[in-house]
Amino acid sequence: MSRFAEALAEASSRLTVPEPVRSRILLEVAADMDDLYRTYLERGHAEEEAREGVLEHFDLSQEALRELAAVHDTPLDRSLRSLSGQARAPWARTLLALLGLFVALGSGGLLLRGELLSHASPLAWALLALLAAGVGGGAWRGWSLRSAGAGTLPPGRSGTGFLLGLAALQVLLGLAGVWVELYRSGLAIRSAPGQAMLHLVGWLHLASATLVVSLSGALVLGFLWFFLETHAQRLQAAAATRLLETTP
Amino acid sequence: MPALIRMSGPWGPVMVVLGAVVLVLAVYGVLTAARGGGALRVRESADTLLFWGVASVVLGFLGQCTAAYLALGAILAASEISPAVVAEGFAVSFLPTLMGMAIFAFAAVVWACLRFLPFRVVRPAPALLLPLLLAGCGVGSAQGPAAIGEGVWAFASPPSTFLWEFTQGADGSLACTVHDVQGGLKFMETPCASVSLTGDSLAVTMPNGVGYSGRVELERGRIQGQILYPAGGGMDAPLRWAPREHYPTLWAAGPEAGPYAYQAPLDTGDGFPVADAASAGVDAAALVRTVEAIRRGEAGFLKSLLVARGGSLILEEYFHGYGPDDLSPIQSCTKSVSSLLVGVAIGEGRIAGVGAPLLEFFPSERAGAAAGWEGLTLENLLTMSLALDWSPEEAENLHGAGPGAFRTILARRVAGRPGTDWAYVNMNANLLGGVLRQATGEHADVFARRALFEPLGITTWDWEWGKEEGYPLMDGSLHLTPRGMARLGAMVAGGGVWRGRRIVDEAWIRASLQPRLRAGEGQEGYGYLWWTMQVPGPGGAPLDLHFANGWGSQFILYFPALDLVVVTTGGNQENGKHLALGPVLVRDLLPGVASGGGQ
Repeated sequence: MSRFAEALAEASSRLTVPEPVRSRILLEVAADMDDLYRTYLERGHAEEEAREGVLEHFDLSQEALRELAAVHDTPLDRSLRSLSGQARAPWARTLLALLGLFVALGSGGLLLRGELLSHASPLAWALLALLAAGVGGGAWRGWSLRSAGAGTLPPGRSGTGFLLGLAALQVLLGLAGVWVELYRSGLAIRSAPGQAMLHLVGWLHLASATLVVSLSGALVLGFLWFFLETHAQRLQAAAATRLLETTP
Repeated sequence: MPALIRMSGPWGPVMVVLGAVVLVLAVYGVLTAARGGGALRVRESADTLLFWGVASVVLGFLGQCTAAYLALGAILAASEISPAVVAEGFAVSFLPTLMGMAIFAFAAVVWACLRFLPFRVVRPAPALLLPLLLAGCGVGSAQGPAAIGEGVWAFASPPSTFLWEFTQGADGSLACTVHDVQGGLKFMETPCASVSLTGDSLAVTMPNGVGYSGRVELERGRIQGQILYPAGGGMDAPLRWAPREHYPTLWAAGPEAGPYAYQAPLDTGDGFPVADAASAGVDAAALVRTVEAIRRGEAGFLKSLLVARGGSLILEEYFHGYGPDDLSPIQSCTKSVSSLLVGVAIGEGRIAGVGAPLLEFFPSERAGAAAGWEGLTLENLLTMSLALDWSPEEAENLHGAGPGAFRTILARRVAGRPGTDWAYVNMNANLLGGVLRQATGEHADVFARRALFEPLGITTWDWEWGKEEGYPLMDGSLHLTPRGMARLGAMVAGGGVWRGRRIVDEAWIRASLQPRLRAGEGQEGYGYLWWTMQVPGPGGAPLDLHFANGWGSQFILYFPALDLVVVTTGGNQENGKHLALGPVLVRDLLPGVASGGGQ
């Protein structure tokens, strides 16, 4: 429970935003209150004085709450929330996990054959590096969430957004590789028109291989984001609930 | 639908699962809305539906990329890239994406209904969508034919795609023809020797003894089976069904062709004069009858038909997707071209005459010549009367160029009466490569370019296949366009003159066309590597015909009395219709030439 539970509960009752925005706002406000409370204590105030000082100082008016809601509930946040909400139901998580496994095994099988990368654009190596960075970062984030709970979360953030950024970068880099190679094939066809069919089929082969790496990487990162984001939201909701408890 | 799923590979079942999820979510969303489940709940259902629809497209596209990668890898590994095979691979690889898009489209429509329509009108939405879904499934289930005789059954073995076409005879018996399609064009057709279908068990035997045994799965549009070799062993060869329309070049003039209407050939500016049939004294109706008979398949499988009279081209028609730029292997017409080259060399004084002893042309190999060769002359070679001891199988199947081949031939002993005993031996003709090289200092293809092809305006040709140490294969590897063949024919008809320029001595033309020996047991005679015979002319009177004769209906036919040249290329090697053109010309074309006026 929080020493400011009553004030937070009162503010929560006036918050007209859906979860997990509500939990995130409450966690941010509580963290700020705790910071100020510690500052008062360091200045030599007694605990009760410090608590009253925080409550006096903190503006939890309707206007302030609206501003906080606006910060945490942008159109992008709403879109991502709608997306991550799809993995909330157990059946959806199971299906996503199976699809992720299918993609990972299917594309991983091609990768293990060793030919996929040699047939793809050189940018495929960068794609693999991005994937490795994403999976590594995601694993670290997952481990942090598992070991330390919501305490490790920055107020109002899940810390998983970088996975979506890397997934988008995967797709963009993959498309860039495809178009660069198309340009190179065009040059090759111009110098040897008789081999146009060979160059065209060669480009299609390369484009397919590059897109397999790119899309598989993006999907794997996307699936990872779903699970971590859902998990983080659950932790935030649990932490917010604990904040509002008035009895120990 | 099952066929679509099967053809989509491992992504097919994934798409089915996603489709089922979307369908269930759609029903759930619509029911929730219809029961007044609350705007927020309905909106969440709609969003979930759309999410899985989008996921279907993304996963379908990944499936397409994977399938395309594997298919294109196999295509690139093949010796020749066939546009038809590439197109087919792409068509199949697109299936996961198409299925994903169909699921997304359905999800998007239901999402729009749930989000934007008043609740009470949402209820009929699934009823409207379900028929569409069922129609889609119906289209998918049409992947298999109702009977084995519908459409064709394809087996890809790059560079060929073999299309098996089954036909039911009036007596109920089943027949089969295998079409060899290369680069989207039909190359050859081979009728099966025997076909039997018992229940779903299919057994086929080809004329060369190769068999096929398989299980017919009509509803799945496939035949799972094996090619069985006569010497033992086999190879998996699944046949996949396709509508005949997927291969429009199986038709002589395309599936939608109407009645043939005569058109004079285009003047392409290549120096070959063109003329209207009437102005050349040929009845256009006769040309129409001839072309229509070819379209009906009465002359087997022909790729082109060109007719020239008085040195002008009056008909130029191509069939089965072939065109004027397509080089054709002219097979043994190469021998007749070789004869023309010998005539040019004699005309230039590089060869004394046809009486020249053959061994004079082979100073390096003559030491290994068998007994009897001292008396053999160039004329014996040109008239196929060397009388060497080749077996019938060797005479038909043995080919080879260069010094090695010369030594092989010279090692054969004389076993009959040279100059009298005629025997068609492919291998012997290859000695002409050595004769021309020794006489002119040039290999036959180089000499041909300078002395024959360039003066005739033949710019597109190929004589590379089978070449050994610079010596081309003289018995049948020259490739020409039909117009190139027609130029040769028109030059021969002009007595060795092409557009006012002498190319070959007239005396040589006359001598080479003159029948000197009876060719086997048939009615044909044989000149200097040119065939000759008589056919029924207009009114039944015999009409002289001289012709270059390439296996599979590659012909340069010259009717001197009519000043008429007919050229064909074809794929009648294995279907027993090599000479099927003859009756068609006698019945449909020749009477029109005789009766035509205006020349």
